[in-house]
Amino acid sequence: MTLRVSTAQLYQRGIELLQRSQQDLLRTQTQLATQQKLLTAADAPSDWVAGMGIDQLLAQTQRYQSNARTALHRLNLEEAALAEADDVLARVRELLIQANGGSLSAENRGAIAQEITALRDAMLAIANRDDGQGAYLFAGTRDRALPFAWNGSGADYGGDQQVRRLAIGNARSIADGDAGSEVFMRLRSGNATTQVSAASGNTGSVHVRQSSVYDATLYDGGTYTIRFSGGGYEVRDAASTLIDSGPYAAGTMLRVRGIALVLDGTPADGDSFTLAPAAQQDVLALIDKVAQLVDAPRTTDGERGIAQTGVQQALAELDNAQTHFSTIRAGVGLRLNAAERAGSTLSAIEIEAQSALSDLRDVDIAEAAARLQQQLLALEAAQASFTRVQGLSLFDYLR
Amino acid sequence: MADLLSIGVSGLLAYRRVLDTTSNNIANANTAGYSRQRVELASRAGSGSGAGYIGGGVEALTVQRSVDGFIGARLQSDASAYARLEVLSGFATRVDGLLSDADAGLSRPLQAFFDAANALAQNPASTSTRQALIGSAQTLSASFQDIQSQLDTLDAEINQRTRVTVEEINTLTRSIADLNQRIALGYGEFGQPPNDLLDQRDRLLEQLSTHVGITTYPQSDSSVNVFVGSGQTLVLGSQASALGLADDAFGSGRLDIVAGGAVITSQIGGGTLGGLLDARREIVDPARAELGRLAVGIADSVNAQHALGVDRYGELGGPFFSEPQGTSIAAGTNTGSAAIGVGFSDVSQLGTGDYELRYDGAAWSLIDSRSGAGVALSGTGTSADPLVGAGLALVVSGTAAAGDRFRVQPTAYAAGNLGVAIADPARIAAATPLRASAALGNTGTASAAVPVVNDASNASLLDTVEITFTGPGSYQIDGAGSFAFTPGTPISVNGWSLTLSGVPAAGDRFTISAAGSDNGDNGNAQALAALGSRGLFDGGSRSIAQAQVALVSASGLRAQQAGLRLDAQAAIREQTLAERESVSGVNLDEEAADLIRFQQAYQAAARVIQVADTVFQTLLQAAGR
Repeated sequence: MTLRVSTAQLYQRGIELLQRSQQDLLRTQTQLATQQKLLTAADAPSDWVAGMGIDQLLAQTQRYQSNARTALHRLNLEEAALAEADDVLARVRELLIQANGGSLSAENRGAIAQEITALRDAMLAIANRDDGQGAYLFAGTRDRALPFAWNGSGADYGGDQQVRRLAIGNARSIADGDAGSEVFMRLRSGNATTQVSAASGNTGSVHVRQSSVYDATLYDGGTYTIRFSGGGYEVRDAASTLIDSGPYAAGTMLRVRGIALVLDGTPADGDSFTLAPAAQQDVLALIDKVAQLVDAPRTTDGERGIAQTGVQQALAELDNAQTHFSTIRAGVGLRLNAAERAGSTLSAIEIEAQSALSDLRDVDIAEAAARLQQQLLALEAAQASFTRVQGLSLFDYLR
Repeated sequence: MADLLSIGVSGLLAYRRVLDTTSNNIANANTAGYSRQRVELASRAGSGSGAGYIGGGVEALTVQRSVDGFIGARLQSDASAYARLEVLSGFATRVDGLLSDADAGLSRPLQAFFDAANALAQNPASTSTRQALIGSAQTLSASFQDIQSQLDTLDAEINQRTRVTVEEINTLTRSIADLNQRIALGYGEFGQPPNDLLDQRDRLLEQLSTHVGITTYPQSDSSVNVFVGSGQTLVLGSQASALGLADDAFGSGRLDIVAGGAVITSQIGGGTLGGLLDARREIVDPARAELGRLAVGIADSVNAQHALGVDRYGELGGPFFSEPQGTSIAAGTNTGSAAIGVGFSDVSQLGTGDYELRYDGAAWSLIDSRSGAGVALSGTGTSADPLVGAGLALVVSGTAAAGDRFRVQPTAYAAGNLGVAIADPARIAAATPLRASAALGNTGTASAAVPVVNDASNASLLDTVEITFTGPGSYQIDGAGSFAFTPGTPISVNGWSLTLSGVPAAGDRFTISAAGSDNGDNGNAQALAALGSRGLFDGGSRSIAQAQVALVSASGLRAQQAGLRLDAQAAIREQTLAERESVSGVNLDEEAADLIRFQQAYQAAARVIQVADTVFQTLLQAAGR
């Protein structure tokens, strides 16, 4: 049976087809105008969901990037401060050696001591440096209050031992600084295991030339006294028990509980040294000690001997301090490196995500323009055929 | 001769009728619902004679509509299905647009909130980053409230349209009953079909079926009976029964459809009315419940994390968001005075459905409204010991009587009351509450990590505690006791635990103290920033970010499916319409051809009369001579 076509249907269908063409046209036009392929989730739910997932990845990546930038900024500031602190220590060391040259007068040494005191203040200024936004670099997380103050014999620390961490990746974070207590304090005195001090009443020129640890396991953490009398020495422990004794000659090496001491000079009877476990000190106290050492009178043999022992210990302590700063700087360098690498990895991820998003969402302009052209053509054809079809009627021939 | 004349007259009369009908077809070519009419012609019985039977001319028997009852029935069911899908697709598209929209949706505010938390982690002391976090939280809660109110508006619109649709149905059924009566009369009067009334009734039936799915049964007196749902009468002969509306059993503001005193809401299918009920059940309700669950999840997890930190005043964090509450409605039949407070015990167990809480005089039971399955409940219902089940914490106030029922809607309206509870930027708890510090004189290599808070509610949490090592393997707390220390095993005191790495020496001291005020730590801000991607919902398998994507994709899928089904149904309906037009539609060219044909027949019949006249005249002249 052939399908009869009613006149009203012919008209209705023609209109519907025109409507549909115009809907398609509107859609293409909207896509071109907004540059978006998908207008709502219903257009392609799975693509839309993928797009939202990438959006979230992108947002997270940008957060990590921003964190990495913040960490880089703070770590660079810290690195600069540590480099300066290192310079200060090197200068202190230089001045200490210069002052130890025998030919200097007391006035000259006094001037050097003043410079060293000024360096101590410079070190204090470094320790109290801020990040330009009111947060102190070396205050841990109490970074709104001045962390360090000089109390006359050492540093008072007002910060805490906490560091802030910033996330630079999934389950990956880096510290954006180091607590001041860990940077400027916790320096070990002497050779880092033990410290030797000359008794203040020493009158002979005997002094420590070298102190080193040859077997750390032998040292029991005790305090030992080395006393000279009659050209020989005795080593006694805290309970005055004799540990070792022998004849003394300049250059003699004493071995006490794993510690090797090379002594030089001539002892007077009753001269003594104390070998004690290394103590903790801060860098300001160390520099101040060096200043006092440089400034101390060196007129008698005893004073010179005490000073020489002091210088030997101070040099070792300065070395320790420099090593300590280098270690911290190395740590900062590693974190800088990590932050930079994370930054570039994150950039790569961002670019990748952007391009994936573009694939999902952006309209292909060339394709959409071609489609628009095609739809325009189709609409024109539909309009033309509609008028032609509607213009046909048998009644036109009934005259 | 007389025969010739009467045959000619019969042709004139018949073709006059045919021409009238053709003109009527032409006149009604654009009348909606009009069915093409045809005159049925039949030859009149002839008169017999020895010379055979001479025909008696033509007569018009009846004017017949050309209709196909099966196509009519299909049109009705197609119209029902199409109207339902049109409504469903309309609502689905609106919800999809609402949730997908870049400006109105949740994606941006949610990302902005976690961005702000991250910025706070970078610069926890800054008042402006704190202010920005509060601002973004307010934007987030405003977005939730906006979407909630839009969805509530859709719900209200569904109610409104249900009311209007039911009124229209009642008007239509009255008209159909009326037509039934007139059609029966029309048949009775002339024994002929009242074509125009029949067309009119078909059209009304089709209109009725766009409002609601119906079944029709033609009766022998040519009236049609109409039924809805599972057999509820709408039209019986000349009697129409009106559909009614009533508030649902819980007086929740939703309308139930009532027929003959019985609630038939669940039996309604098809048509605008079916579409509205389905849109509520399949589109609006799931979107609201999912949105509310997201709001509850965000408030709950942010608040829980916020409580683990300390603010700029050195105090533990208070609520960040005002925690949304669920809603419960007592059935109108309840005799007790009890009311139910709906809180949340465990977001990871929280579903998106409604529940019914029942009291049998001794015990409470919770039933999942969708599946009808019971949910295990623990607790007694007091505020200290709430009824806990399905992630909910239900608190009963007042006294319940046996047989009392409550509808519990945990999250349907929750998004609307998500608010920001914090106004003072300094109250944001960005810092971890405790600090460990190693005494400067420590000689061991042990270093302390940040103490982890396990129980923020411990009253002594912020008390200062000193751990002193008496040797590498033992320690004292505040100078008392002796505890064994195993490297790598945390030391737990007062609701926190501390992990030490390295080896402590005798005399080493670690002090754990409160972070105090004006702290620049960012530990808790970092944890807040990471909340978005932490597993939370559905037993911890879905994060806030994923749940938000799921919310959008679910509504997108529903809209896409409804759209596809609508397109398919439109094609089916178009096909059926084409079939009907093929049978019943007027083609003007065809009518023009008929006009020519029947005009010629009419002219021929007139010529027959002329011939009869000539023949008669010839006879008269012959006789007159």
